[in-house]
Amino acid sequence: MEPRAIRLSRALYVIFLAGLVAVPALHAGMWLNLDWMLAQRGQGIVPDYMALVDIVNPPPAWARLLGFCVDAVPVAITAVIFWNLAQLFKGYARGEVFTKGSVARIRRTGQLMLLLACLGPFVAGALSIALTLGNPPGQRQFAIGLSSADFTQIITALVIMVAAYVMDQGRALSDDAELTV
Amino acid sequence: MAIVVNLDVALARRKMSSKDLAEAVGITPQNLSVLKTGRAKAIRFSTLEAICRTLSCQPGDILEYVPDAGGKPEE
Repeated sequence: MEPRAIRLSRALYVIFLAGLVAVPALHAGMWLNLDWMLAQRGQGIVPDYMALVDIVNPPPAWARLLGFCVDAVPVAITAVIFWNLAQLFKGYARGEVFTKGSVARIRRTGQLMLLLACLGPFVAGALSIALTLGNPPGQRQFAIGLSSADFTQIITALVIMVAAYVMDQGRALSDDAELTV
Repeated sequence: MAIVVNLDVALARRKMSSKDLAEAVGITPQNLSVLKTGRAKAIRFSTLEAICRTLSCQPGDILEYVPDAGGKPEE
């Protein structure tokens, strides 16, 4: 592999490792500082489902814990995706491009992204329940919806899965070329 | 493997080492080892021609078809 590609792969390895630590840490920070997050509503840095929370009667501790547990599911999937990508680029930096391992990592990343995209609306719905369970009767809400971002994520995941299939064909050709004398 | 590579026999007849053959043919000793051990998936006509020229033999002296025990062709 070219030195430039190796350098880029190493940089991406570090970025994805940093993301692997940062994403769970940011989400944990968000749930630990939920009151501050709720105060920032409308400034574009707070997830949409927080708009449902009654700011006068903020969710009790048990509702926050429930919300944290629900939110932990997509965060865990995202962390696995970042780990996969970090390992993929670590392999690229070592020159392992057309290998079974790298193809499997690309395929797994696509599958996990698809899972994440499909879970997204349900997680948002579950979070809306968790965060409004503490509201007075009549103000508890359940919100579910599909956004264009969900569709974009599904399409991206499918494209990655097709790319993994193409890479697998490339790997087979590479194996053939290696064993052609 | 249905195709057996009898390169060892041809080399012994010519009293030539694998290293010398690899050098004469213009391939790496590693690639010649792949060919000798039957791990090769394909052989280029240019490589076969160079081997035959160096060893003064015919392709049939190096390559032999041996039917598999089950008789089914391999993928």
